[in-house]
Amino acid sequence: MKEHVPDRQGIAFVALFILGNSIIYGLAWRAGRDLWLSFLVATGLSFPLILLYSRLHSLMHGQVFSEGMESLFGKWPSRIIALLYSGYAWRLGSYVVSDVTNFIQAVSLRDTPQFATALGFVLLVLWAVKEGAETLARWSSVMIVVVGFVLVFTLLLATGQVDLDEFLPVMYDGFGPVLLGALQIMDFPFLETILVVGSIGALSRQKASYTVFLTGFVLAAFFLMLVASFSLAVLGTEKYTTSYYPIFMATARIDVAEFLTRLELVVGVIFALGGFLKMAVCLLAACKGLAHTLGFSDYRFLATPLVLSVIPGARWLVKSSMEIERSATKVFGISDVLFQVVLPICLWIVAEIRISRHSED
Amino acid sequence: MRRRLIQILMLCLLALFTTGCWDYTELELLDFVIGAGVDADEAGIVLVTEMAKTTGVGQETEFEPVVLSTKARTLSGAAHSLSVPAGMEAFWPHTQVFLVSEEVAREGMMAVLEHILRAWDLRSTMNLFVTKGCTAEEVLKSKPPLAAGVSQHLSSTVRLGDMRAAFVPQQVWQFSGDLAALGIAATLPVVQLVHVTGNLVPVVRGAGVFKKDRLVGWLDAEQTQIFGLLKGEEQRGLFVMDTTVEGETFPITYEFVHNVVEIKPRISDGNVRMQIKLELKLGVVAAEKANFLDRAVTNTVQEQLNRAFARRIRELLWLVQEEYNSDIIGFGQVLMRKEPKVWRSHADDWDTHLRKLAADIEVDCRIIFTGLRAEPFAVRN
Amino acid sequence: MSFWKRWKEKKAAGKQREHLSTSLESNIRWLRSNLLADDATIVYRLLRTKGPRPRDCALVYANNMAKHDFLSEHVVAPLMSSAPPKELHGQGLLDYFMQEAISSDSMDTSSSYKELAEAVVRGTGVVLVDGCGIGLMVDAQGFEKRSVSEPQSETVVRGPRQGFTEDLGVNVSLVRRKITSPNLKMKYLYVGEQTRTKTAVMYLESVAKPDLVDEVIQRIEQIEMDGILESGYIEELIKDSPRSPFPTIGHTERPDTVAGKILEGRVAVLVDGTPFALTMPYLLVEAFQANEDYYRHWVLASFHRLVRYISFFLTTSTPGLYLALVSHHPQLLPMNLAISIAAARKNVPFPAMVEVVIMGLVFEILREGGVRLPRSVGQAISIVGAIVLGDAAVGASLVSAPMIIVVGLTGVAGFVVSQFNDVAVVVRLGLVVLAGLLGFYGFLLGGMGLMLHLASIKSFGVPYLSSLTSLSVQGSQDTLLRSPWWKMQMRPRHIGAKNRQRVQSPSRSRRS
Repeated sequence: MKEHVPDRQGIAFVALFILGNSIIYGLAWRAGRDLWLSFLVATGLSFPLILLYSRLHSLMHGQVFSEGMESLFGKWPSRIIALLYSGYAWRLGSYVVSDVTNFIQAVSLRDTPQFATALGFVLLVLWAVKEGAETLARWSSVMIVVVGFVLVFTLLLATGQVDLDEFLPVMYDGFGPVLLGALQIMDFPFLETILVVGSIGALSRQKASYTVFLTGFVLAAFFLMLVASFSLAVLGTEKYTTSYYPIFMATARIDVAEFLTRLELVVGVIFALGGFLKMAVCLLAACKGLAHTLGFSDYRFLATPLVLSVIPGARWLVKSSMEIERSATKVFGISDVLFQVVLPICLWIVAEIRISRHSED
Repeated sequence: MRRRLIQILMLCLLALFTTGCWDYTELELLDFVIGAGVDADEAGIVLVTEMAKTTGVGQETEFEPVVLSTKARTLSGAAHSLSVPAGMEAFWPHTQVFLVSEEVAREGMMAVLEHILRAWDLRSTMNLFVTKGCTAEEVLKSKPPLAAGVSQHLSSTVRLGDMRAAFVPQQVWQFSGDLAALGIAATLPVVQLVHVTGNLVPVVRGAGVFKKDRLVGWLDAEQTQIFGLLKGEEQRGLFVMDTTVEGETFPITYEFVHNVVEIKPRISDGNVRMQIKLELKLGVVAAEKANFLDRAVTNTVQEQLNRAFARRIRELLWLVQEEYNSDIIGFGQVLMRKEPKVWRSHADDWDTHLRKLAADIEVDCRIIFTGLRAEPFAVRN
Repeated sequence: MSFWKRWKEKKAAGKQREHLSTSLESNIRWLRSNLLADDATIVYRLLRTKGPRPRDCALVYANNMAKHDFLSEHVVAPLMSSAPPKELHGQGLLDYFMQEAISSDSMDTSSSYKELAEAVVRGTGVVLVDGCGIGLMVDAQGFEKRSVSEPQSETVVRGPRQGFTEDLGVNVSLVRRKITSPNLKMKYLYVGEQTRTKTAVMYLESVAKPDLVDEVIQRIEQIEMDGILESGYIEELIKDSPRSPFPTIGHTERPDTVAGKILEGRVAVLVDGTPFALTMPYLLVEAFQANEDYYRHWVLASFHRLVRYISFFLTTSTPGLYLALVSHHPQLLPMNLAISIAAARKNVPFPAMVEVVIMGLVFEILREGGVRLPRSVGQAISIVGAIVLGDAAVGASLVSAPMIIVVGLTGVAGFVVSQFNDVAVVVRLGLVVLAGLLGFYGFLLGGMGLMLHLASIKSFGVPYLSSLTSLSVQGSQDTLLRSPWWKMQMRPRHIGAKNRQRVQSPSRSRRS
């Protein structure tokens, strides 16, 4: 089955993936009031890597995932790489589901067992994975409009609460925290974009990979920066860095004529939409990777066990909401460096060499 | 296919009926807390709550406030045991006002704030008050003349722009934010009980000054007005001042129209001076004799206003810096934001620096309208 | 099934004699005893020509299906007064009758019993001549039919007052009158083993994608069904995602709507015997478009289109949202509202969820009653039912007052998007159950699932959401809002891909 994703839908797909579940966390909290600088730095540092990802994606253009992998890296190496990334994607998917369930439990459904909230979410993801990337891209192109509209609307409503002086003084503690903050955001969520490479199929043309990935990334980075800066300006540095869900706290403060209040609900909606897409993409990548490793061309029969296994996976990986917070805001874990930076660079070099050899032949 | 569908459906139904609906509650089984207060007690804490009791059936329903109180060692414990006298689940998210008695505030706000900030069901947009000369229980049990309940009375007072001149409202997030931030101290609006036609009515007036999380002193209504101006709070409302025009002294009633304040640090030879620039646009509501068409008259009046406000600001600053030694205006914060290097050297010992912090005060009052009359009303034979 | 069997047997019997014999008598006997046996409506009019050698003829037709006066005047009378030359026989004789005797504009010949019998049943007059193995079919269809009037299901304030009738010929002509271009192509298909319902596939050759047209024709040809009584049969048999409650084929009673869709590059299928034409592919946005949108000022049309989207949201979501708020998230309600709802619910014996479901059911009962009853009675019943039931139920504390508002809003909003009225019921129920279980989170899961479903279905190869997902100004001109005509120079991308330019040279004068 050949999938085809139009450019604009692809952009929406990438952007929503990056916004994903990250939007509610206190991104770059280590930078404190300088987080906007962190965002700029992180965007600048991530840009070449995203470029590299899109190069990898465009090299596989027009081929089914497993074929593309095999033509680039050979049979067995490609299977091992696919297995590794499949594991990474699965782990990330587990984190997303525990993010969602913990958030839901913290802010709203206190007595509902996490299993129940997770099951509803996971079943939906299972369905989405079975439908494939094309449907998901179409879905996200509708949802990105919802997300964008809601975000802009909320931010506009809250402009009255924003205190720009919160950003002063700039770099009081020097450049160190800014860099740490930047590394935080690169790890989560910017460079997780590598998983989109494995999940999204053919775009309109080979060059479109660059447009889709880079535009989607910049768009998402801009929105995240806007949201994080807004939260900080509303909450103040202290609250931003100590709350689990700063944007949630910030929107709770909106009060327009005692009528438009309690807009934190809206943040929950955005979070659920983004988290859903992110998890679906992760598991899509995991399924495709595992299918390739096992030597199957169709991944759909793997979807059910793999997706459902995320629920126990989430319990195994995360045991409390403190752990979630820690994992969401850590500074570049070792496995993340491996999967987001080292491996892609190696893959890229190998791929380029093999391609040029092919063309010489 | 159909059999499998039926099986799945049956499983779902079974799951539904065996587990129940976890968070499903019925609205009518909740007791709404609309206001709360904390008093001190030898054993620990007394939590006083104002609850909404609904009366009437069908379409004609109303609610009347009922005051309950519980005792416990901590606020969380007291909040939890509230269901015992209430009989149903106490529902906190609609709480609008939270009163802290003077006694509790003097001992430190952490006991109260910790619970409020951590609990999921208390909103950070609650209005905080400190009581003066009475307990929270007395306030909540008083009878405001028109509103249905003390909480409604207080929250509508806060919403009233015209009353703002007498207090600076503080919601939980503002108060806690000021406590947590560097170089600024917190205040709370004060609730007092006042005799009005034989009834004790809660009135919001003045401010309680905090140092760290402890209440250290009071500002009266007039000082609070100046404090509000310095905080950049938008002021509405009137004030009366004796004004001398052409040799005669008589009271003129002014109205705040617009106010802007700018506070900047100025560093000269390692010494910090705060420059306070206050711009006021005022209207005249009632003036017996002054003719504001005459530019000379307007100028003299503005001169007097400038001097008066400058004097009041100086008095307030003295009180705050010397007497309470609490940086409620946030000079430290301004210094940190504008001159981070200087702040770094002053931060550790800010209390002493605050005491000798000098201020240049510049007030610029302008009268921009005089009601519907250009000249004073003259009575002739 | 037994009909089917019997018909097959008959078909087998007919195989023995497929073609006419030259004997008039034996032909009539055969028809009478076999294909047209036991049919009292068939008239066999025997007559004889003049001339040197009078010939025996027979006119066979079905009573009330053919125009009697036409047949008497233009077939019977000229035949009886004709005088065919002596030497003519066989095909020559038939040609003589066709050319010099019968004055009808539409005639055909056939030698097959089956074809002739089918023609008779359809209302054609069949002339059999002694000595000829060929029958003559004179088109004389004429039966009672409804005149063209405004359709009751789609009324407009401004717009043509024409609606389709039950007669295919009339319907095709109504569309043809809108698009008088030789580019408008038409293909007739006969569907249904028993009914042989005539079906017209119409499209604009220069615009519609050839694949699409082929696909439609192929799907219709593949239908195996004994009878097609309404276009709904065809719709259900050829639509994509047949399990989805969402329609992937549109239907309308209005020729102007059909013409508009054809101009965009869609294919229309008209079925004899029903005023409802089908258009395909059918996308989600079309449910929110009304033909009147295009006849009115674009600002007003856009506003009403927005109202339709909002109404659809309200009709599907209000009960679910209400339930989520009341039963899971009372903290999200403003305080006074929460207290007053709590007070209103105080003596109601049902949990909120049961209340929502029961009231939804009551509303559906009232609506169904109103629709099926005669128009005048129906309206009275629904109004009285709603007011009396609602008011009394609230007074007796059986139902809370806010619930009545929710149900009322749901119902009224549902009528705004009539195309999705039935879908809305399903969606609403699903959302209510999810919201009751998991509150707003459940509601959100339902909404996301709904969107996923919409994103996954296609109509004739075109994604159901396609115009909503284009994310470009050009592509969304006719979705949430309606752009003015002078801006809409392109046809929708997925449908009119063959020839996207709607207007060759934009009329700039309008823009200035």
